[in-house]
Amino acid sequence: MELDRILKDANSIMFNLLGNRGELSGNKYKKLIGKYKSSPELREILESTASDYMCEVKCIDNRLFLIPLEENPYLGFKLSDSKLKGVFKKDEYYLGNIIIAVIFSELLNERKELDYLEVSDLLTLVDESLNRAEKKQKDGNEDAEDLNIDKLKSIWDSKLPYPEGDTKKSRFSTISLNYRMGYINKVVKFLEQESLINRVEDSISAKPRLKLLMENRILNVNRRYEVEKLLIG
Amino acid sequence: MLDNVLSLYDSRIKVLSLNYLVNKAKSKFTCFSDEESFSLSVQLLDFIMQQSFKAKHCFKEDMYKFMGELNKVVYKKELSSDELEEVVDDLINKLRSKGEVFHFETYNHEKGSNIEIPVRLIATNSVFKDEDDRYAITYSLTESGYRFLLGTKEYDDLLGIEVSRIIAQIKLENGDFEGTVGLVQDIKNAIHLQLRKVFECGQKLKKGLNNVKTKDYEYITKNTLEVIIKEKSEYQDLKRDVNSHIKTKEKLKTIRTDGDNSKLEKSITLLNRIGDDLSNIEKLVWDLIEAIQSLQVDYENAIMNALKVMSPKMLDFETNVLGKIEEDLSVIDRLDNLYKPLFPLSVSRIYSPLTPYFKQDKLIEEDTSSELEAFDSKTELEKEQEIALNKKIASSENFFADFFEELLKFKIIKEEFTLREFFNYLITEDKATYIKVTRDTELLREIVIFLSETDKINFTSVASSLKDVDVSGTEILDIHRVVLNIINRDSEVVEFLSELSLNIDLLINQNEDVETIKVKTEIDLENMSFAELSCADCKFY
Repeated sequence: MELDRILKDANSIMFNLLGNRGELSGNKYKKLIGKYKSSPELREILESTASDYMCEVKCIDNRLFLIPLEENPYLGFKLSDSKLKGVFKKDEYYLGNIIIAVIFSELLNERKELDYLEVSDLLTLVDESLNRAEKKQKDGNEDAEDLNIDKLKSIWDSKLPYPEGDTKKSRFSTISLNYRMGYINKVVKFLEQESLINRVEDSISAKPRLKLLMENRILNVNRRYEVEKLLIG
Repeated sequence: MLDNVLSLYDSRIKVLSLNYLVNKAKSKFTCFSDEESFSLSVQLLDFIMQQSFKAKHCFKEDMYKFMGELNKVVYKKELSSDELEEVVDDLINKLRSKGEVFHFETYNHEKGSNIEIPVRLIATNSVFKDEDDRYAITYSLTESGYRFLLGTKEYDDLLGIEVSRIIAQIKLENGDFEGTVGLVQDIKNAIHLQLRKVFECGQKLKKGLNNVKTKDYEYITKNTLEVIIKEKSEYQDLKRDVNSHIKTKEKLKTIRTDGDNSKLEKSITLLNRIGDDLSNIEKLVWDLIEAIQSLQVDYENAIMNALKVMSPKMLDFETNVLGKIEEDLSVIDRLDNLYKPLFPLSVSRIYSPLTPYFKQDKLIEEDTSSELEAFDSKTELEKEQEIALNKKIASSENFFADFFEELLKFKIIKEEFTLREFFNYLITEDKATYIKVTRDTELLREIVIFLSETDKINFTSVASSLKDVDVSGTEILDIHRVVLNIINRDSEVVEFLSELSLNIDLLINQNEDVETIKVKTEIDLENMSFAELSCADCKFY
């Protein structure tokens, strides 16, 4: 009888996790999360189920996450398969990735304790990042054809920052790819759809999912070696 | 709404109207900016207060001296001593609003009309001056003036609590109940303020340990606790005094049957109010102690956590990821692996019957062949596909049979011929057959590829080329069935077929023989040796 109930709960948690894009939070799932926290048997069952899915179930700060492992071939998200790639051309897609990295590094910077980031500030931040990259890669791999910093830089530099002469509001909310601001807005929109950041008018802030997962899983200090391995390849 | 918000407006505006008065007093000398005249006014008021603390008279001449020193050190304006004196006269005049009581006009919410609040900062007195043998005017601050200057709370809040309590005790003994009520209110406000401080400190602590200064924390917790615990017992004594006062007053009331009792009743209500306030204060003290204790626990926890985690919890994104991308752009291609847990799962990537097969990533590959064998029954789609395939094979066999038949028929007319001669004959003599023979261009192409137009047709080579013809993508043409097809037609060409089918059999058998190779080796058992094999030694059958 007891086991029946636990299995039912495990099933319900797994189903809801898959249906809710891998995250349970809020009052609606308070009961289920409470059960997960209180019952070690339930946790054990979920652990083994998740390992069959090549995933990991983790409770961080009253939120339950279904985290796909890196080697998972069929569950999880691929940035390279995302809408972002559909919107951008190939080189632009790489530029988009750099913009994402700049946004994350600003929002996750513990030293700055940033509550809000102005979208217009990103213009200079991306500019600085590209300049740094150009400096660092000047002597290095010029022969790499697909990924060339000069190419990305020339795309970025060839555009105007924002449409001139309009009101401030329309300047910083343009989505035309003729302007740098357009690229940034497309990326911000994408991250917003993936529920990683919030946008209120012209300022963006990190949602709890981004901070919690980055802190506890992806960039956890204990995973230093794995992160290096993933990035160096 | 307005009632709630503006209920205490009067008392507030009373305090702040003094501020307005000081702000309004601007020097007529334009070399003093607004800020400078404001600070000069406060400095002059400070000087007056200082003199009264020293129990000295404050004459105009003293202020002139003070102003002279002040100008040398602070303002450094190029003004003569006469002009400086004028500055002081002007400012003091304005501060005391030319000797009159300044009326601050404002709206009184309870009365529903405008009222004038009398405001006075500086009081004057005429004193006989021995040195000059004449009367001179001295300046001092009014009570509200003191409050204005001391309202900046530069003295200790905790001291304020203690002092208010001591004065309240004295006033109570002297029978000044109205004054006691005000002082008890002051104590209540001061404790509220302390509570607020503790609360704010807790908020700062939540944001991070480094936001709280150790000095502030110790003041808020340690000193406050010391004072408040000492005061707590004093409040109980005070309350006891109040109660005894109430008792005596009530006794008096019962004894005195004649005369006016209104004074007694008034003081009893005041005493009751003091008693209520004191019990409120006791509650507040308990709240304060609790708040301080929980703050202490939080603070200790925060320190313990800070000691445990010396390094940050999270790797720095800027150096670890963005920095790597800047060094080497090819890192971008590998970001997918890092970000995998970050982005929400996309459900479309779960294996789904709704999305086409080729768009889905494969599940872990498993050997499913044994399971498939268990499924005997084919789906209807598969059945339909099989039927269609069979039809296609049959039609292609038919076509080749027709072609062969016509070819053999032509052989009766002409012993030896080329492909071109065959087609030319058909076009000129028998158009219906021509159309029949060339109806399937794809299959015809298979034949024409292997036969040149000008060479004489050799039936065996035609047959051998036909056996490789791809009929449906998976099936290869069975030449035997084509021959059988022709035999079943009972046509005149059957006699040629016996020869042809023999040839075909030979052709196929030969092919089978090629696959089996027999090798003879010579092994000498006596010498335990064997002859080395070379290509020349191999014999093929």
